[in-house]
Amino acid sequence: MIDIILGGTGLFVLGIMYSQMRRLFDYNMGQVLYTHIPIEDRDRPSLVDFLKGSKRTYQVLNLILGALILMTGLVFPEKYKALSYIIILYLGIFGLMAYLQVCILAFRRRKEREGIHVGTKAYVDPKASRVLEQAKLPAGLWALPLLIFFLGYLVLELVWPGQDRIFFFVNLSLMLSIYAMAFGLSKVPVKPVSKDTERNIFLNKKRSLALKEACFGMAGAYSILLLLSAYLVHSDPYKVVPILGLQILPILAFTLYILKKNKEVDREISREMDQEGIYLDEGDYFDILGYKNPKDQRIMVADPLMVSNLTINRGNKKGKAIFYTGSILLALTLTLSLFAIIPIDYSFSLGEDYLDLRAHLYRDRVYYKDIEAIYYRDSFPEGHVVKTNGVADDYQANGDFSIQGKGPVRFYLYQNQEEMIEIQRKGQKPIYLNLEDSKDLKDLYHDLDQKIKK
Amino acid sequence: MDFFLPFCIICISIYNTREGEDMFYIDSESDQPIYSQIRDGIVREIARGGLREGDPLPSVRTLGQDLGVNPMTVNKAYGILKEEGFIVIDRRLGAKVSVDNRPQALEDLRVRMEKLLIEARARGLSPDLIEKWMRGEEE
Repeated sequence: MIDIILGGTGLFVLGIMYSQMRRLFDYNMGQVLYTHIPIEDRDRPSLVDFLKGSKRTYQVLNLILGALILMTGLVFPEKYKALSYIIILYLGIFGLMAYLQVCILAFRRRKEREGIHVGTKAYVDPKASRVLEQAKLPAGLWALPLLIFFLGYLVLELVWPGQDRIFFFVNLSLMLSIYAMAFGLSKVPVKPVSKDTERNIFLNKKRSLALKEACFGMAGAYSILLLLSAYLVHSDPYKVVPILGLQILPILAFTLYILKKNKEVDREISREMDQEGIYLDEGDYFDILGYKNPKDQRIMVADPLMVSNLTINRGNKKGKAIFYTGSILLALTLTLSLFAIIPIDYSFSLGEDYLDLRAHLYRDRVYYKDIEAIYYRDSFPEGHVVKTNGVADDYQANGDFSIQGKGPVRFYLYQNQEEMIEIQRKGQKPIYLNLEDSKDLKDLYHDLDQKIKK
Repeated sequence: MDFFLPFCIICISIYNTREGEDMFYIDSESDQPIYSQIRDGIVREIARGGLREGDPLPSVRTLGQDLGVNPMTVNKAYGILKEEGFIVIDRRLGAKVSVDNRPQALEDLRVRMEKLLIEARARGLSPDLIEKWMRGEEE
């Protein structure tokens, strides 16, 4: 199961990244590899050869990474599988990004060597800018889907008290992700892509405004879907359909839709610019890490190729501070996420008055006086299990889970061992724990039993 | 000043009949300040007929975003354009083109042009050549 989930996720992430980044090697809106090249120079043999070679290498690197992800399930032992998948994916993605950055810098050096002009201009069609500015949805209207969401949750809480808080925050963050996408689209500059203002309005509308309106529609639909999922989860927390069908699949489908539309519009704009011979020589400030232009005072800048993507201008002081702080936070998050899945066996110690259990971030001190009952089970309790705040792979399951018919529980379990000890506590979650060896587990059970009886 | 009036008429007619390209650019490498380039770009658009009397202009925030410059820079350019009588700014509706040909503005223009024409004469340029330049023809 872990192979399907992690392998599938890895290949999906790789596929999305490949389809987006591959476009960097194609001449698009006067740019290739984030570098402006005039139309008359784009077919220069030296440039074409460089692009062909680097694109082929990029494809091969992607294939190798895909193969490594597929092989992880076969090569690594159960205990290290999750960790191996994540490390291979992280290293692979950072490696591919580093390769793309090297390509961009090498291509710019080549452009300079070839004597192709490096531009410093920024173009605008004031009439088109104004028309599109006026065509934007009123800001107040954007509050509507969030209002529906919050009011709906309020009604749910009043009618069926005790809504799951974690589920609420997950739903809220999904709603906010649509808003973040729309915010990114609102920062896309209106660029003159034709000599005709009407065409500029039409194409720029398709590129940002239409997609932003799609985000608004999605936010409205999502506010209802998420409320429905909250109701279904409340009525039966062990159902997967609300989570998959109403939460994950719609946002996944919507993201793919936005990427596809963006690709189509960019192609149309490129064709238009080719036909009219328009070339916007606006300077080469973008790279794989974002944007770096000391003369630009803006902090957040819209990516010219990845629509709805805002990048930080690390050329000015504020942007630099945000960029490096964000990078440190990202590195910390990645390290913590790796730490959470490092297969360290959970530890326990039997004290005079209590049993200490420890697995990564999860800790329990179980006082013997609080134990109501202790059972030795030959198999796992029947019923669906959902993870609420726990970590699980094919090797271990630690943290908070919920078992249908039993409610919230705490696990310290090895997955390859059927037998386990169940500890029932006064007013606290029951604990299920086991050891890889049955004999050790039985010994632990007897020791615990003795301590409790004392 | 014998060809001041024809100069103005020809200039206006040239710009009014030019087709398309309703856009301008700013160049961050240029010695001319950005706000001044924006001011010139908008005046050029008005002269070309890309922007007509009553046409609304983008807000300072939008134009700043589209040109990749600080909105304060656009604000400065709009302030100059307002001062020179090319636009009016309404706090609620934003800026719009409104060319105010008040006597003082025309007098300022005449003085600036006179300086240019005196320089042209001092350099010995013929009225024919200046007229060619005004028509956008090659020397």
